Amino acid sequence: MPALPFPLPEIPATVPTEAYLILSGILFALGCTGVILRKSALTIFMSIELMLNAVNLSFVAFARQLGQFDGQIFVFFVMAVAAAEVAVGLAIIIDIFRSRCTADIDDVSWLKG
Amino acid sequence: MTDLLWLVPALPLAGSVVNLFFGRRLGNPLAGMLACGAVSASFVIAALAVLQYTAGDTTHPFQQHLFPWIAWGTGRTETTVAEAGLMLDPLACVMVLVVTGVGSLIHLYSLGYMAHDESYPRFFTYLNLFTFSMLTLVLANNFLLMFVGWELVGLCSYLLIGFWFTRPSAASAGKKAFVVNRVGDWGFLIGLFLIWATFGTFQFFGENHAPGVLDDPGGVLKGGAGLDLSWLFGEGVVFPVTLAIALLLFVGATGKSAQVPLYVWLPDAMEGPTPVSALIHAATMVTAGVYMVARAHSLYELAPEALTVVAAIGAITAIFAATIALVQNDIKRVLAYSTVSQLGYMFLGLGAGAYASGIFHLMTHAFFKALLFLGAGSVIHGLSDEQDLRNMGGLFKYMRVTAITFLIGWLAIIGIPPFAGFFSKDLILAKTFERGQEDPVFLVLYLLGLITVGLTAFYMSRLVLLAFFGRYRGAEAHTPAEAAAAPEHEPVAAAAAHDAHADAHGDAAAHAGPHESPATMLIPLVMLAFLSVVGGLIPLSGLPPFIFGEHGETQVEQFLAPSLSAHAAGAVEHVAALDPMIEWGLTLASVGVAVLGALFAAALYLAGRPRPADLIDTFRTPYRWLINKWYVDELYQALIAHPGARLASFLSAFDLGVVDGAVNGVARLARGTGGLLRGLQSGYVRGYAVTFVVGAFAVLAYWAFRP
Repeated sequence: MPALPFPLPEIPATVPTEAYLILSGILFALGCTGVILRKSALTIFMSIELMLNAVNLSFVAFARQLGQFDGQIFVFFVMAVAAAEVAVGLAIIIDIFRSRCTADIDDVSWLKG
Repeated sequence: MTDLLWLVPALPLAGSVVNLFFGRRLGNPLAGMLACGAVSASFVIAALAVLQYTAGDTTHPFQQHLFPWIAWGTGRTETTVAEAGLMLDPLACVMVLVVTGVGSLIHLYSLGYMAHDESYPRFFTYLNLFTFSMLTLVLANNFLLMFVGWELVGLCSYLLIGFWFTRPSAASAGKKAFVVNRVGDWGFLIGLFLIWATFGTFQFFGENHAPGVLDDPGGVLKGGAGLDLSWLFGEGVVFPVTLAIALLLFVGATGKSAQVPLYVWLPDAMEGPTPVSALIHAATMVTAGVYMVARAHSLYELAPEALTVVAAIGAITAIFAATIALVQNDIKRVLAYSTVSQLGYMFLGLGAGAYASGIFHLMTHAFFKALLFLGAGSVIHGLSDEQDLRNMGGLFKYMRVTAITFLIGWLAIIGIPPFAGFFSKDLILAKTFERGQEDPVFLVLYLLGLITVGLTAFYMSRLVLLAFFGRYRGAEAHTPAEAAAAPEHEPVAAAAAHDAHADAHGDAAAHAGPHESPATMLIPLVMLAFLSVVGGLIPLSGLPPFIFGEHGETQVEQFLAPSLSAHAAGAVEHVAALDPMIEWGLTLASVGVAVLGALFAAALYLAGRPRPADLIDTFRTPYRWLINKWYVDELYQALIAHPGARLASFLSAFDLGVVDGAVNGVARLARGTGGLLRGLQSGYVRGYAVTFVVGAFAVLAYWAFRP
C-alpha cells in the first residue's frame, strides 16, 4: 500500500458503544413513530426498514463490544428476512393499489370484524 | 322356450318402467293395455317354458344363470356369494303359472274396474311392478334373490293398499301393512344371516341345489350346533341352529302370509282397489310365506318341532280368522278373513309334512279366492261403492254372470265336490289326520281344521245369501224428486251411465240401482270360475278313491315330488298312507260338516228360523267379541303401538331439548365470545401498530421494573 501524501487525521480509537445504542434508539423511535403516524403504506414500509436497521445497528455494536460474531451473523439473517419481507410486502401493496387505486392504509380496512 | 325364462319377469318390469315414464302420455286405456299385454305375454312364455320343461326330466331344476351378483375376491379366488339366477322346477312351475295366469286375468279385469280412475297409469305401473317382484320371488334360485322379491312385493303391497292415499284410512292401512310386514321380515332376515353363518351358502336346500349341505357328516347340526342354553336349563341343553333358522323363516312367513299373530294387516289391506285385493292379498303375495316354507322344507325336516309349530299356527289361524268372518258385514272383510283362514289351512298342510297339499291348496285357493274377490268387486262396482252386506240382497236378478260365477267360487271354497277347493282342502285334512297317527297333536289340529270347514261353509253361505238372494235392501234407484233436484242426472243420462259402467269410485249418483259389470270384468270372472271347477281335477289320477293315485300319492304330489320330497339325511319318515276306507270317511266328514254349515246359514238367512237378530240377542257377549275381532287390534294398540308412541314422544322431547340444546348451546357460546372480541379487529393497520408498540413497551416495562 503506497504511503499517503498527508497524514490521516487522528480519530479516537473507539466510538463508545453507548453512542451506537443512542443512535439506534433514535432511529428505532423514528421508525416506530413513522409506522404509527404515517398513512401511506410505502412510508410505513420504509419506517419498518428503519426500525429493522436500528436493531441491526445495536446488534453489531454489541458484537463489537463483546468481541463475538453472533450479533453480526444475526444481522445477516435480519437483512435476508427484510429482503424477503420487502418482496412480499411490496407485491401486496402493488396489488392493493391496482385493485383499489390507493396506497392509503386507512382506506384498506375490509378485515374489520 | 325355457331359455327365454328371463323374459317372464322382465316383461312386466319393462311394462312397469314404460308406464312409469310414459303412462300419462299413453293415457287410458293404452297404459292399461300395455300392462295387460306385458303380463299376458309373460304368461304365454311361462306356459310354453313349463310345457317344455315338464316334457323332459323334471328331477333336476332348469337353471338360468343371469349374472354374478355378490362376490368377493378376484381372479381364481373369486367366490360367488349369491348370483342373480332363475330356476324352474315343479314347485316354481306351479307358482309361475298361478302368478302370471291369475295375474293376467286380474290385469284384464282392472281395465274395466279402474277405467275411470284418475291415476289409471300409476295403478298399472304398480300392478306390473308387483307382477315382476312376485315372479322374481318364485323364480329366484337362491334365498337372497328370493328375499329381494319378497321385499319388493311388500313395497308394491304398500303402494297399492295406499293407492287412494288421499283417503286417511287407506294411507294408514298401507302403513300398518308395511310395519307389520317389517316384523316378519326381521325374522326372515335373521334367518338368512343364520343360514349363511351355518351353511355358507344361500342356495336352496336339497340335493338339486346345494347337495350335501344338509348331510351333516360331522353330526354338527344334529349334535349341537346352536345356541348354548346350559346356563339356563342345565348342562348340555342346546337350542339347535336348524330349529332356530326354521322358526325365524316361519316368522317371516307369518308376516307375509298373515298368520297369527301378524295377520292384523290383511283385513285392513282391503282399503286398496279390489283387483289388488284379489291379486296381492288373496291369490299371490300372501302365499309367498307358504311357498317359502315349502322351498325350505328340507331344513324343516331336520327340525320337526318347527313343523309342529307351523301346523299349530296354521290351524289356530284357520279357526280364529273363520270365527271373525262369521259376523263381519263388509263383503271384502269377510273375504279377507276367509283368506287368512285358508292360508292357515296351507300352513297346516305344510306342517303336517304334506308340502304338496299346501301348494295344491295354494293353487286352487288362488283360483277361487281371486274369483270371489273379483266377484265382490263386480258387486261393489255395480252398487256404486256399496260394501256393506246389509245393504245388498237379491242381486242375483240384477247381475246374473257375477252371481253365477260367485256361486261357483262359493261351492269351491266350502269344499263341495267336484269343485277345486274340495280336493285341496280334503287332501290337507287327510294328511293332517294321517300325521295324527304318530303325533296326537295333529289329531287336535285336524279337529280344528274340520270345525273350520263348517265355519267356512257358514260364513260364505251367509255372504252369498245376504248379497245375492232375498230382497234388495239398498237405496232404490233415483226417485222422481231426486231426479228433479239434480237435473244433470236425468233418467236417460242415468240409463246411459248404466251401460257405460260409469266409474265405481266416481259420482255415485250417476248410477241407477244395481247393474251388471262390463265385459272386461266378466270375462276374467268366467275364466276363473272355469278354473275353480276344474282346478282340482287337473292333478287327478283315476277314480276312486279319486284323490289318491299310485303308491298312496296323489298326482299333485307326484308332480311336485322332485321339488318337495328330496329328503335330507335323518329327515322325518312318514307312515304309509291310510286305509282307503278311512280316507272315504274323512272325505265324508268334511263334506258333511260343510253341508251342515251351509244349511245352518240357509236356515238363518233364507228361512229366517231362527232369526239372526234373536241369535245375536241370545249370544250377546260372544257376538260382541266376534264383531270386534276379538279386540286384537285394541290389544296391539295398548301393548305395542301406544307404548311405542309414548317412547317416541319422550325421545323426541329428549332430542329437541337435550341433544339439540347441547348443540345450540355450543354454537351460542362461540358466538357470544366472538361478539365480545370482534371489537378488537378494527381493520385499521395503524391501530394494530399502536397496539404492538404499546404491548412491546408494556413487556419492556415489566422486565425493566419487575420487582
